[in-house]
Amino acid sequence: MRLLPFVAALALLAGCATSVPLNRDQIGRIGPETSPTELNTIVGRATPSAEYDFASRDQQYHARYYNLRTGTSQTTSVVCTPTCIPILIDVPVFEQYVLVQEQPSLKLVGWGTVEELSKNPDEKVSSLMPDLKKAHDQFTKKK
Amino acid sequence: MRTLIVSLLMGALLCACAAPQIHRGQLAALDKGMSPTEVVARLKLEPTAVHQASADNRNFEFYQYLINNGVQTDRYLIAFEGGKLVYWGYLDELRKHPDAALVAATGKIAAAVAAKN
Repeated sequence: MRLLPFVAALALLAGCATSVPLNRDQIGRIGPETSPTELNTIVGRATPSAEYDFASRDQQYHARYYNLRTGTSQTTSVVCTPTCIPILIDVPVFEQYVLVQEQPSLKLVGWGTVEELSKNPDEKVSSLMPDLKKAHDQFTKKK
Repeated sequence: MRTLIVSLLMGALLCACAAPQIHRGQLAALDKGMSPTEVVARLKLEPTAVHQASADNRNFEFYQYLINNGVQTDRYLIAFEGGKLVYWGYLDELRKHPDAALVAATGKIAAAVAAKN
């Protein structure tokens, strides 16, 4: 019975496996000249956590959010059977990664974490972010 | 088991002593053009220090924070020009920005930033 929290934690971790994250190798292959077809090939089986269209300054854009795996953190769980022993569990750390494409051409405009895009020195990219964030809030509320 | 409980209590006490800090997740709420008041409201924390520096006849103001990046605590800067947010990042990020004036102004405050937690 004392194993229950441990089993529950494992079940939760297994649940995460259904969503495929992006990794650094994939995003390292994305560049300003990446075509829409190439982009889809690079992203491959990664599962978008959110996907929506939004408008900014009379232009339509398409945004896709992915979970980017940035590292691993370690947590400790104590299992008592009946002697208590601490068990180290590696938990993956994710950050939201966004791809923004112009509509209808699907030309890649920006890619990066929300923070990276918000402070991007290219005004064309950073100026989209307040509208992208509003659209994301609406998308999240609808869900 | 007693050792574990004592360790947890010590950890909780240490956390309570930590200086006020922002967390990486909060940075996604910032947008260029925000006023210092809006930034402080979004971060829900006043800066630990404010620095001013000029370069190429442009005046910059830097809000200094402590940030917890999940692994350690580090100094973090938020740069304003003309009362508007222009950039935010670690000292090294500001020093490799394409805006030469911002880089020069950051260089002038680097020692003061390092001296303040």
